[in-house]
Amino acid sequence: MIATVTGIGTLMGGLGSLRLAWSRPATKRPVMILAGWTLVAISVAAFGFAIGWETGIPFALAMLPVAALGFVLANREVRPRKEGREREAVIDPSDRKSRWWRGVLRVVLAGPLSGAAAILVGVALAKQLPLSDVDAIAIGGLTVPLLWAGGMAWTLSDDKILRALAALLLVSGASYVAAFVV
Amino acid sequence: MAQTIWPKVKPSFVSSMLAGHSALGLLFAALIYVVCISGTVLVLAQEIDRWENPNAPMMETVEAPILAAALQAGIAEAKAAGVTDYVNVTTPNDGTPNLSVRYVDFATGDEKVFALDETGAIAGERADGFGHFMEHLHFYLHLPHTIGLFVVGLIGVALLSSVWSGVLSHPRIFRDAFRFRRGGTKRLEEADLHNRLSVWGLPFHIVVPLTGAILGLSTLVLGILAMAAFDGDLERAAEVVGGPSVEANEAAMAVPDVLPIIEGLLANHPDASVARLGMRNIGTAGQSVQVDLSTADDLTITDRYIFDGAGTYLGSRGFSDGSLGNQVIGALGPLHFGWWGEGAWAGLIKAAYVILGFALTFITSSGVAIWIARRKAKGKPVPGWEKAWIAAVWGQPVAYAGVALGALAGVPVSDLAVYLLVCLAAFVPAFFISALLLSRILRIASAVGVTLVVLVHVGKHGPFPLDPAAIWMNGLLLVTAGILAATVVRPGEARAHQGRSVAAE
Repeated sequence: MIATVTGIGTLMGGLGSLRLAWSRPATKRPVMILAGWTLVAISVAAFGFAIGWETGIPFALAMLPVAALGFVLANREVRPRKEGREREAVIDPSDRKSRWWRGVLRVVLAGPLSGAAAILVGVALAKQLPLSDVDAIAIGGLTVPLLWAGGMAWTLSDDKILRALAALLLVSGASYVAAFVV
Repeated sequence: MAQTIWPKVKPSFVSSMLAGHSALGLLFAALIYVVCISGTVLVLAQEIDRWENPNAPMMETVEAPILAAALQAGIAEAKAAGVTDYVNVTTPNDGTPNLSVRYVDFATGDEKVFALDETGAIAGERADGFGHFMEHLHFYLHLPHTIGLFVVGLIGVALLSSVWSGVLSHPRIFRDAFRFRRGGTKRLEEADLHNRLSVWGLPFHIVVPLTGAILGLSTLVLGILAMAAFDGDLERAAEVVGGPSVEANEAAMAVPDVLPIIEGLLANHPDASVARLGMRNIGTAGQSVQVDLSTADDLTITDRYIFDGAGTYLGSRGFSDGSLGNQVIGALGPLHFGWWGEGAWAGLIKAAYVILGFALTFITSSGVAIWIARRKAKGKPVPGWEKAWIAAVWGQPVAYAGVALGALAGVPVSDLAVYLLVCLAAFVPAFFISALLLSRILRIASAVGVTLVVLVHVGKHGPFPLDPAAIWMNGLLLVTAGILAATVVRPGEARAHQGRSVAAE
């Protein structure tokens, strides 16, 4: 019970500290940010202590966003409506030359090539990590979607598409060597 | 304005990231949306199961002899239907306070679920029309299983990729962490909500697509990794990842007595209880018994203990006490759906997952709305796409209500046909009416549909069925219908949106 109350209290305290730190110019801002994240970390530990580390830590990480969104909602700022054509200071996505071959190449890079590179890295990890079979497979398996998603994000974002192609080929080649040749 | 302590990010970098984020989001938007909203509903899969069977016999615990009797009853039903592939008993320790048994024919995909009484005897067929439909929508998009699972896994990768590019295209991620502006331009208003929900939900938005991608791509990824690690020995690979198995052998063999198996296991694991009891390839020399034990402290919830046809213990999956790799594999499902913990903790986790799941669904929807608003602000409006997106977004709840009504009423029509027809029907008014009116009509249709679902449920099972979860679910559905209706009839909202884009309403 004490751990649960501590968890709730430190979570709210931590978010409150972060809210204050990021809402106004203050000389104490770094201290408040540090205090905020420290309290959040204590809250995660408190929930781990309250209901067990294995279930308590993910529980706290599920509660943090919900509590934070409560703070965001409380910070609602209503402004007069502007007409649709009025612009505000926002950054627009970059305008790219729309050539069909670039579109096709981007899809190939983001899909099959990024996927192949991610799987080769995963295989290299599964074969080379000095761990038990299942541990190595689990780490390799977790790595694949993370890297595939990263590769997809990068190849779709990089304006220099041939640079992305070269990097993916390099990663794939190096991983292949690590997995099957070394 | 407060100054950031982080290095300044170049606008050109943000611009490039936004281009990638936008392209990916638009390409996969509809599929991501369907997977997100169906997954959010499925967080409550156990409650939906209880809601569909509100008068099934309820119990808190089941003794080992009753479990053995329940398995025998299931085997008898399966054999009568000519099925010997798989029979599985689910106990009150698996999330619902009921005892049920299911048989599956893996070749045809046919399966049936029965409710059991306190003695382990069949009490009647268990309804699972809506829950089953939602599972197949989220897991396979109703495609053939292998292809569907792969497509859903790819959607998980795309969503995770959107998370990466979204984070990198947000130069004021911390400074704006609590900023929530309503009003101003439509684009900025949508962007603020999109960004706040995205940033604070980040742990959830990473874990859910990541675990979903691994689960969806498991056949491909784990298969390739295991083959590489075991030089092509797939059997060994499957054993390391999924636990031991018995080699197929069609020769006849007597079904083993499972009672000593259960009692022996429980004696060795006094903190655990039986969640499920299954048998594969029944009556053959290749048969095996699977006992899933649940332990509340484990994130993996259950671990599977496997025995051969003679009752000899072969080993476990190691989800509970195996190496880290085993436990990580075992935690993927619970982390993906928010199914862990017990009692009030489990309820809070589910509530958080529902909130964050709807947040992710809204982020997907508002992402497209931002693109539509941006086009409008640039003087290049896309009214056709705006209407199509509204129909896609608001067609889903109407279609779910249609499927639930069909399942409740026992209408002998394919639930997939109902779903697709309603989804398509949502697009029809788009040809004749404005985007604003389309959005309102579909929201009203959703509210009416959800209310009808509750009315039909009450008409069929009564207002106060045996299981209180059904009453709670009906209450939740009525609140949902009320919220949907309120978004249309609230006067302030109506005035605010007159003549403006409504895609993200």
